[in-house]
Amino acid sequence: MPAPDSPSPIAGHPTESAYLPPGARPVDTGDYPYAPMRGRPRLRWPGDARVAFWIAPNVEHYEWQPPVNPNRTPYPRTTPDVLNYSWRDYTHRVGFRRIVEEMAKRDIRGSVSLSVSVCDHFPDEVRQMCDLGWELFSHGLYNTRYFYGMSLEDQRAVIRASQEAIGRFGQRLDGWLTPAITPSLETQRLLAEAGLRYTLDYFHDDQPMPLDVGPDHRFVTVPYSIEMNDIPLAHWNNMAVDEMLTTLKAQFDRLYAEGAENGRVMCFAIHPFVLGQPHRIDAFAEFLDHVKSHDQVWYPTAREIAAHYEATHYDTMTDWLGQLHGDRA
Amino acid sequence: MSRQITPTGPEHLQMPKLRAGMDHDFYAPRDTWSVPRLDFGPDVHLGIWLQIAVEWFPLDISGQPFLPIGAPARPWPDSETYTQRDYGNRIGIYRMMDALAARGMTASAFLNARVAQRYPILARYIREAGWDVVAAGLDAGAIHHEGLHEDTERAMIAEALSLLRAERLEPAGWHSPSWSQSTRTPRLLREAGITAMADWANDEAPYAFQTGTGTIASLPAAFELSDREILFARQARLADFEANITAAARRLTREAADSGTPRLLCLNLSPWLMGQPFRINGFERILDMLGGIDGARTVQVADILAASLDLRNG
Repeated sequence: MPAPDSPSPIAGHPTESAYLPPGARPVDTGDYPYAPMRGRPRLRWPGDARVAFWIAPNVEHYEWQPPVNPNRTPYPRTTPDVLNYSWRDYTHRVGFRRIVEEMAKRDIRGSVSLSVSVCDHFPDEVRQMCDLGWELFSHGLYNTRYFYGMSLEDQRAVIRASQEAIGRFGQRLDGWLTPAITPSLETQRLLAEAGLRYTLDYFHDDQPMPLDVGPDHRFVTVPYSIEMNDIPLAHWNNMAVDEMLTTLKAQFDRLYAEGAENGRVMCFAIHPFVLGQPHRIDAFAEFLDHVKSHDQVWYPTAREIAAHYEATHYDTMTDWLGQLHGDRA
Repeated sequence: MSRQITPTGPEHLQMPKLRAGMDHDFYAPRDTWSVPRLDFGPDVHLGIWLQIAVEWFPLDISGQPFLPIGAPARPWPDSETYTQRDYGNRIGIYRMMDALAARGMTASAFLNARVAQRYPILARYIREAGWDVVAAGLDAGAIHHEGLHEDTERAMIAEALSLLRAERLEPAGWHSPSWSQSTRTPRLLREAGITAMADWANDEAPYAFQTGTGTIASLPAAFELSDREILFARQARLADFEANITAAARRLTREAADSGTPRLLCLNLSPWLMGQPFRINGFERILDMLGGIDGARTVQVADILAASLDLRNG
């Protein structure tokens, strides 16, 4: 992948929302109206499935010696941080393969949150994922490069570099998750303008939703998960393996029950260096078996969720929201 | 209120290390999972490497560049924490030693040099137990990091080795306190004659690590399954810790059977945690569970190095 285009000379860029002073800052993200779950038109999945179930493996690379973002240090202790670097590199030597095997065995495709530099560093992994029919979406250049502090031109350059890298593997870049979820308020609009179709940066819903990025683009949010996510489960919430498994099953069971009335999405976001450890991988396998024991489940990629929603439900939801709020057509 | 962000410069778009392979020159990527990497002999399917952390946390740890897990952190003098950690060297480790001896199992002492210096009697018991010694730096607070001058770091390594040798302990390898290295550490270790280190947590089998002045064997460094991570940092219950280890052992045993190539389970355990009276039965249950696995055997550094197909083949 060529290095992204050099940045524009607008460092400081005071018109961007990130630099508005306290008091002048928007108090919400400004791109979606309130939409209660109660009373919504029914979202139907293919085959009348109750739940669209998808797995988001984060296949990332964290740099050995990253440039240190002034707004977020890449490593918790010091840089370089051998423990944290090498633990993440466990993905590429061991963890990735355990994850791939358990998913392939059950015929579940991944939608990959890809540090697009992996296309260069570990192209064999990317080829293997493509061969399995997995979707690649961009999770930025490296997971040690955040959008905090990036000018809009720099953000555009990262989006273009992502399109180029994933394009080399024959896929179109449709989706996006900002590294460490560090978007600015403008990021979603930039994605839509670049031709992307969905974002995973928003955690506000159990269903896809239209996102208002201006009149020229139809752009949707697809539910990702910061709750059903192995790092928060195991490392932020200190869950042992059994509790993780119980939690995942509870999430799925509830959404499956609710999905009888109105379709739901369940995402499980995973990191091979966490879930691919020998003490956790069997819990992942057991959870997948639990899901597979239900018959009204659809197993799409995130791209397929977004496309189905855009084609079948986007207008219905937009109309409903217009009626609900009166002022939106 | 959310704090305001600072703009990033052009270096955040530049990717000088973008290429096939790693973003450093220490090792090439490899597939450890599906390619045979180990051979412990015909009857051993699961090697169990018990890394017993034998540590001294000085009362005045500097906290540079970070405070190690388990370090005294209350206002000075934090004698509460200091003495609780020292309990491990006086009481806890002997419980663990007895439990291992009773089962005919071995371990490696990940030994701070200043423990050997301060407690030569403990050094003698470690020697007599047949444990091999992995030199674990000077003490738990002596962190190797980029901010050190190279001469300082070289002297730290030399002093640690010299203190251990003064107690007739010849290290089979090296472990950096808190699994922390500077970019120079592997080279300085190699220059000091060290041939194996257990600091990088990226693998489940040894591999050749290029230091810049020759290779050093990188041994698996279990951190996720350590008691300090699960019991201390994550505050899990003992039963959950045991369940984690059982799950890992079961999984690795099955992978060994499926692949026809053995696996290695590393457990890094601390006497100040696992040697407590209320936990020692848990330690014994873990040993009994592991000992009950057909084809499982405890291994030490020399066994692991000899078992490495990659190191054998140069």
